[in-house]
Amino acid sequence: MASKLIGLADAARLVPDGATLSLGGFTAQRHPMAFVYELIRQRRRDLYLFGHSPGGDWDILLGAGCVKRVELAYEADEAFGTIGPRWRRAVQGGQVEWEDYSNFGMVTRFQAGAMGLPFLPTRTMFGSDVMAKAALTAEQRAADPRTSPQKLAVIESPFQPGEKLILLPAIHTEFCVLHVQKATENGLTRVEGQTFADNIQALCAETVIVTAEEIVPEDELRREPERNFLPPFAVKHVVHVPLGHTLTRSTNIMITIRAS
Amino acid sequence: MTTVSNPPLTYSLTELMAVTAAREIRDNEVVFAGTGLPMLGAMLAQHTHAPNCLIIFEAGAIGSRMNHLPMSVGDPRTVRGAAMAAGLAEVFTYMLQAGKVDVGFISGAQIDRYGNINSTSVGDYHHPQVRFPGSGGSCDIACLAHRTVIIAQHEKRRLPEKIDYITSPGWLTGGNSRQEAGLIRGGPSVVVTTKGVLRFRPTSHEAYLNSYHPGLSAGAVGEDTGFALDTSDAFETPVPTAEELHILRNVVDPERVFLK
Repeated sequence: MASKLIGLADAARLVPDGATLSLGGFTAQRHPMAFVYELIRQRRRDLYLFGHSPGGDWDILLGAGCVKRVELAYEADEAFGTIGPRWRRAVQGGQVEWEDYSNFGMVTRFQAGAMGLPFLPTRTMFGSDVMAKAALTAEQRAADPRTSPQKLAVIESPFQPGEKLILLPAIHTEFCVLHVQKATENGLTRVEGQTFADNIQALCAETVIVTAEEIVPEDELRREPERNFLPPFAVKHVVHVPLGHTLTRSTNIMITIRAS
Repeated sequence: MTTVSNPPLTYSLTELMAVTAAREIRDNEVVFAGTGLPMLGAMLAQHTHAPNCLIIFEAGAIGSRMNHLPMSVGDPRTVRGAAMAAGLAEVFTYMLQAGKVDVGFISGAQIDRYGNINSTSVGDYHHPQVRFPGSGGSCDIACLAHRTVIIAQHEKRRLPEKIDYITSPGWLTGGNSRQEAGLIRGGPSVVVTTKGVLRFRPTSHEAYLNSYHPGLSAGAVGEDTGFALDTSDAFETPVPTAEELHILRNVVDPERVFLK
């Protein structure tokens, strides 16, 4: 079976300036940080990020000037930092274009993308300014065809007169990068502990890059297929990066510090 | 149950708020909890009067047992010993939107008289003076839980006449406005603040002062509120019991992550 293993720098070089990208993890958990640091090292510019609750991964990309536009629900490290400081500065200083959704809203948008649907209906966001206000202007939306022409649409249910639903547009990104505990050389992937929305984000991306704590033989993961997360065809490149999530947290990855 | 004989009781404001909020949870309820004091309150309830309450966190933990206080909703501690480790899509779509969550437990930067919450930004939305993380799951919890318990800092500027952005809809403009906006259930039932407890009148859905914390007076709390607050029915907030304080300090947060 063909190996999909490549080096970290080569993997990061696949993502060009201006690419649309989503990153795995949630707030302070299991982000592909080594990959993020490599993007910064390579001075990537104008990235267009999609996420539900990013944390230090986006914050450091914003601070390094790598990002042009984001669509998100939340940017913070939760209890470790109740606001991403570089996110705050970028918005207050007018250095980033953004659009706000709710977490369920963004997850619904990733689900629509992963399901091959143009949109999905939801009952959330009614009555809020998350629904009523758009941060991106019509001109900003028109300038980039990858941005949905409208933030959302409200419809009446065709089956229940008077019942209103919000339609949220699907997300399709050029890249999705995840950090996982285990992967095989050909891209079979296992996540241990919390999965967040990683698999859904992966399934609406054209190219999925997995950085893995451990590269394991395929037989090992095939012994318990119910624990596996993404099939090999869904993953294009695999990068072996022990502690690739540092300094975010991850289930079953221990960091040992020895006094030298 | 361990008993502690320490009259007269001394307790901090955070402890009083955690206990007051915990008492809002009834046994056997399904609770969807946010980061910080909501977590403390939910865990205290589980270890005292509501041992069978089922706690859900938006990052995917269902039925958390909470032997160690998580630092955030994505913390691996929410998953250890939990009934299920699911993902964001599962808890938002099948639990919250489907109406299976009895009580949502959230906090926010600004709150108005109808329990609408702002956790997005202060000032003009497009050019904010101060930007916060954004909705996260807060908007979704406020829209879709059967009722919400809100935690807030009680200052004039944080409880203003009008909030700058409705991140999480409460009773909107009172009366039937929540239902008319398209929300099919829910609404805030209580706001536990640093100065007292606010509840909402049944028809107008306008906030009134239900209780003021020991050491304060109804009038003083009213004066520290940015909107006209009816304080005519207010009594003194019941103090924590020795057992609640013992569990809070020794079981829930012995490391003083959130307790001050």
